[in-house]
Amino acid sequence: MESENGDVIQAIIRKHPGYQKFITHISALTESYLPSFIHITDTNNLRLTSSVLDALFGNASSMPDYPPIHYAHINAVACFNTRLFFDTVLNSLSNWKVSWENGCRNWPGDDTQRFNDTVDSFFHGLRILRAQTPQGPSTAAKGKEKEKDIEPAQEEPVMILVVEKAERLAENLPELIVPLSRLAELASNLRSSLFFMSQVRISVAFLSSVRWEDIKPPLGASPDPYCIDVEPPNKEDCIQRLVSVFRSVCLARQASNVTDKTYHPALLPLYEHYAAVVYSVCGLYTRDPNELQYIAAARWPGFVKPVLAEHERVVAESRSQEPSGEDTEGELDVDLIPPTEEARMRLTRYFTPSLTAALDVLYPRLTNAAEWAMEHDPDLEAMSTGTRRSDHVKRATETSNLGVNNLPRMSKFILIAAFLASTNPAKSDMRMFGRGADERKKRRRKGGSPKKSRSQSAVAKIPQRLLGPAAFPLDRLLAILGALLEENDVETRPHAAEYKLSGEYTEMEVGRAQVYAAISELTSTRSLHRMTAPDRLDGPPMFKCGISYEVALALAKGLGVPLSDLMWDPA
Amino acid sequence: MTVAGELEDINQVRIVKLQPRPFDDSKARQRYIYPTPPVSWFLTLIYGATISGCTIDGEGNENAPREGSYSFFPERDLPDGYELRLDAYKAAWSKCLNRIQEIIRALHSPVVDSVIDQVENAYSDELPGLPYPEIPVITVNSSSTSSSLFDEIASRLECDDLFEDSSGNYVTHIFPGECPNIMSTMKTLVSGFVTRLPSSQYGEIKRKPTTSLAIYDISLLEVWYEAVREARGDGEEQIHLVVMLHDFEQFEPAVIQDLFEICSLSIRRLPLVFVLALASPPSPSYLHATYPRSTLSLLRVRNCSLPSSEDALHEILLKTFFDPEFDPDVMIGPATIEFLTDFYTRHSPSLDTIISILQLVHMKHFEEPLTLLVSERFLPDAMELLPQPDSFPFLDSIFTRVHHSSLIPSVDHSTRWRNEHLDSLLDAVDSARYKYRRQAKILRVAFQLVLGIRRFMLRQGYKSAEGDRTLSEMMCLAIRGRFGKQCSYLCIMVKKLAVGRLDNLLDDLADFFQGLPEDICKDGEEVLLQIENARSLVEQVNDPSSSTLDIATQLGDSLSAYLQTRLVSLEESPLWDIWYTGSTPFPSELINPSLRASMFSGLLNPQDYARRSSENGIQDGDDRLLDLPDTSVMFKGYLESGKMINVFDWFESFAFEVDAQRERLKKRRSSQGERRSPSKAKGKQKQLDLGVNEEGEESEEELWKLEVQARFVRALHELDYVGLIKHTGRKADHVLRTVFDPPE
Repeated sequence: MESENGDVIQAIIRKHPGYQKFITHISALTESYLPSFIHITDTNNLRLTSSVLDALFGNASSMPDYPPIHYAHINAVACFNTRLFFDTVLNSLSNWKVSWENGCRNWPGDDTQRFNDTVDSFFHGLRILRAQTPQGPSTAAKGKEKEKDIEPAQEEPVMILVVEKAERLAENLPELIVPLSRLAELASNLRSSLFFMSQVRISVAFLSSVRWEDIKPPLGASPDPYCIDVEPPNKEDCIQRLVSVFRSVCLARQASNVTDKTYHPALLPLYEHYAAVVYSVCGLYTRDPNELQYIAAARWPGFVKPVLAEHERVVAESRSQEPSGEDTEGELDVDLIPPTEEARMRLTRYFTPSLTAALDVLYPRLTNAAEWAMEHDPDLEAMSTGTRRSDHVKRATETSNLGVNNLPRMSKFILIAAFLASTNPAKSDMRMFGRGADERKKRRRKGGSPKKSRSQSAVAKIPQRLLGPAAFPLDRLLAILGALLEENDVETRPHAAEYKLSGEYTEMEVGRAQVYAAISELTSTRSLHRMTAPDRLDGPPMFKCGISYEVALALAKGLGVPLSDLMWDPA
Repeated sequence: MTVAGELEDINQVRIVKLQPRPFDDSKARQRYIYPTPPVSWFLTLIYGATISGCTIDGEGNENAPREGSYSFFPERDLPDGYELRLDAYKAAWSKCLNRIQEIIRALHSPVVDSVIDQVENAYSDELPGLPYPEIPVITVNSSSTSSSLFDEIASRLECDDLFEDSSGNYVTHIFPGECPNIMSTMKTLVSGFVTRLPSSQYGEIKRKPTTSLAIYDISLLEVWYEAVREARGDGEEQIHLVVMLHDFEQFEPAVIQDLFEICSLSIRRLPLVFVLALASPPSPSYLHATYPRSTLSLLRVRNCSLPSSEDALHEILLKTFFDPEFDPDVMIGPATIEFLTDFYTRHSPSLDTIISILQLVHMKHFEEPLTLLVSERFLPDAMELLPQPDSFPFLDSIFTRVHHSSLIPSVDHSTRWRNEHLDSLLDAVDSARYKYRRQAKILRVAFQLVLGIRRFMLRQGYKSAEGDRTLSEMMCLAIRGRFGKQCSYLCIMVKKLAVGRLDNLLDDLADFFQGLPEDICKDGEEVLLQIENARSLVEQVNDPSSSTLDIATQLGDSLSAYLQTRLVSLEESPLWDIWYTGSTPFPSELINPSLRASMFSGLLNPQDYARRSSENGIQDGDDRLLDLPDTSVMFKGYLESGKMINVFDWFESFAFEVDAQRERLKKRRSSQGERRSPSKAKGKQKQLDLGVNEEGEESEEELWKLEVQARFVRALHELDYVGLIKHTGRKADHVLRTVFDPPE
């Protein structure tokens, strides 16, 4: 029996590399006695850990050493109020199938009352559920349990409730944390005499990316949980996981008869190397197996394309040599073989730079994997001639330039003004934007800062540009905008004879309704951040610039504004 | 006492009539501040037909003079000219608007197609091997606030094909107002689908409010979708649940994060597709600036954006005002095109901007009484109205114009009237209209021809054909009749063309002329003939010898001659200003006023905006300051004071002004009372005087002082509210000025 269980667990461990310790830990606990309140901390990847838990408990019937298990896995984000929480937990523990025909009824219990209005009724529901289980569970999975229940000395069924993202529970439903942490005790004790099987064995497991200390309710109202930490995956685990996903995709695609050979089992050795390359390039920046998987999936079709093309060429050749043999047989004859060591090296060398590019674009999700894969589909001809680099460079510049052309001219000026207002100290404005012969000379602090100041302040001053944007009032933004417009925009304006004084026209332009409209529009698109509450009337509204130095530079270039001359502390 | 009467007592202001001041540019420029003509006038233009008759009067007096109440040129307007012109305006604008909307629809259609396409393929073109299924999200960047684009997308998605009885998709719309928190958002999302029956075979199924799944539970949607799938059977067709989030920028990001997270949990079971309607440009991307990576990594974002905004503007202008197939009632002039282009690129690149600017141009154009004659539609009414004596000034103005134009030989004005007949006058107008229309149409054809040649040259790789002018600048040049330089340059290029290319150009030109509408065809016959000739010659000549050069030269010359005679200013035709806005400047202050300048001009010259009341229409010109509204009185004091204002002094000076106003009012009342109905008023007045005398002037004075205080505080707060006052704790009873140097 021991070995039987062990096999299943080994299979799960193989499927989830890096979780060996965690899996053995949990399964050992389950076999002996599961603590009633567990807190699992995983700072790396909740999604994976929760899939491990699902694998362990979801088909508990295949684990003979386990007690019969009723398993509910809920997400604290999705269950944002108590009713939803109770409904989901009960439906899931009882394995109840909601159907449209019966009016989407929840698990009915003994059909006398509702269980989703208060915590008390929820406990009541749990007890009824517990009372009902030995008699006749509704699904096939429970049928098995029942048989086992009778044989090994009435082993008591265990309910396991996993709450994913428990930190959100503390935000949305803080009142539930204490009852959940003592669920076993509360559900059993109250009015226990009413039920013939009063003992409810239930374990609550919080799965969270923060530690228990951070969500613990005050005054020690909850008992301390049994804490389990999930270790971060190491290099081999990440690579193994990539490979195991490849295997499962292969199987799935074979099962559904996909003719495309991108995920062909014969390519597994190649994929193993590929996974190692992906890890070596991206592992520096992210070790999240899902992110690595995402990037690997985006690059793989391009990576194997030359191999598949070669294979197709071989197939076509062999077909032409064979005098009109049946097509299907001809194809079967030529097996897809992984490329030679040398070819693999060449492939790797060719595609490694594009992996970095993929990381740059895909990790912040500037585009999606499918689109990226399509865009960066390698051109086989170009590959042979080696003209790839210039092509890639061209693409990169294209994408970076695309950014700023859609804004109207005035919004561009506003953004530059906001950038300057956020990076320059307010004291410097007069010197930077003042017009006059003397001021020109003493513009801008010199690049090499004087030694005296350095000796005085031991800490080197970090430029504002690196510290992040500073807040500025609307008035200052408008003043800088006026200065920018006066210097750079006078020629492009339509002629207006009525303004005779110098600067008069600019002043009128700065005060126009559309300028204010543009500022609030930029705020709504988060290119500017409003720092004061919108309903506050006193004082000028404060803003912060929301664009980066690169974007500001591109905008300034488009408008012909000498941005670096206007920055107090250019880097 | 009426409400208006009470108001009168409080503030001594009564608006008799929303009467606009004539919009005079020269005067405005002298005064530096560009005064905004009251927008209310434009509002009345829009709703004019319903409210034009009733003027807002203290006593609700309907008998106020009505003739010419909205006319800027009452001396030469018809009695009902305003209403008639309003109809003419409506007709002209709706014609123009329909055309623009057609063009916009055509501009949108590729976007709609691509969105539909992406929705249909949302689940079929997934990349294999991804770590987890993503939510397909399609962002649509549309600068237009009108929902027509999204309505069209939704309707196309819901009944994709006319021939299929059941539609493939379900669409739900979610608006920001419905989503203050995650519960209501989920409720909107789920109920948006679930309220529709999965199929006709299911009857209405009652869900119990307490023991069924909650309406905001995503599992309810899953159950519903199961039922839909069962009802549909295992068809090939994939059903999508499309969720459209309108005005996406207005949603609370925290709520949307949760929404995506919840949907991501059940994306394996629910084929959801999100369509996000963004108003911001595709980059810098709102989505990436606002949402964290953890949310973005749940989505597969694809973008559909509208064509570049500048192209859209040119497309609309070209197809509305420079298309031989379309004949707008009112042609916009270069000043308008320049303003529109500048405003569009500088401030607000949205299609709505174009529409509202063009609408304002139309409105302004119809201020002119003569514009009544803009189209033939007016004529049946005119025949009844014109013979009446009231219409004479109007007729006279037409007559003067027609007389001075070249249509009728010049004879002495007064003697001409004797033999002038109404019919012949209207005939003259008709012929002027015909002449103008023809000229405009020919101009459009010629302009399109130039563009065609330019396109051809660019296609052939001659970069210099592009010139340094933008398309809108070329339009301005063409309608000003100053397009000669560009044309002749292109014609020189034509002259130098080699044989093979010349042949292609000839084909293009022949196609162009043959594609023209029939009434214009004749005009181009000569050139067409030339082209045909040249074609046959080119076919004969096979080798590139000198003779082809001759053909090219000839063709170039004839094109040049053709264009030169046709690209002439529209202002040269008689009565042009009826159909053409010419170089009338656009009233830009209406769309983009300078806030501070308009505020000051309002405070300094309130009479420009709302005419002050004098009792029953009698006005005095000399006591302007005394009749100013309280806020303006306060503002005068503000301007005269130093950097800090002592509030008590300010109050004293205010009270002085207001007292003087009151005195004047009293005096005026008594004098009027005498004038209007001597016996009655006298009696009343006497009684009143007696009453005042007897019951004590003191209590009245007390009340008056309270009133002055109240009015002072109110006016002070108004100034405070517009930001003219700053409170500092530095000096007791003092406030700080914020404006020191107002214009004028």
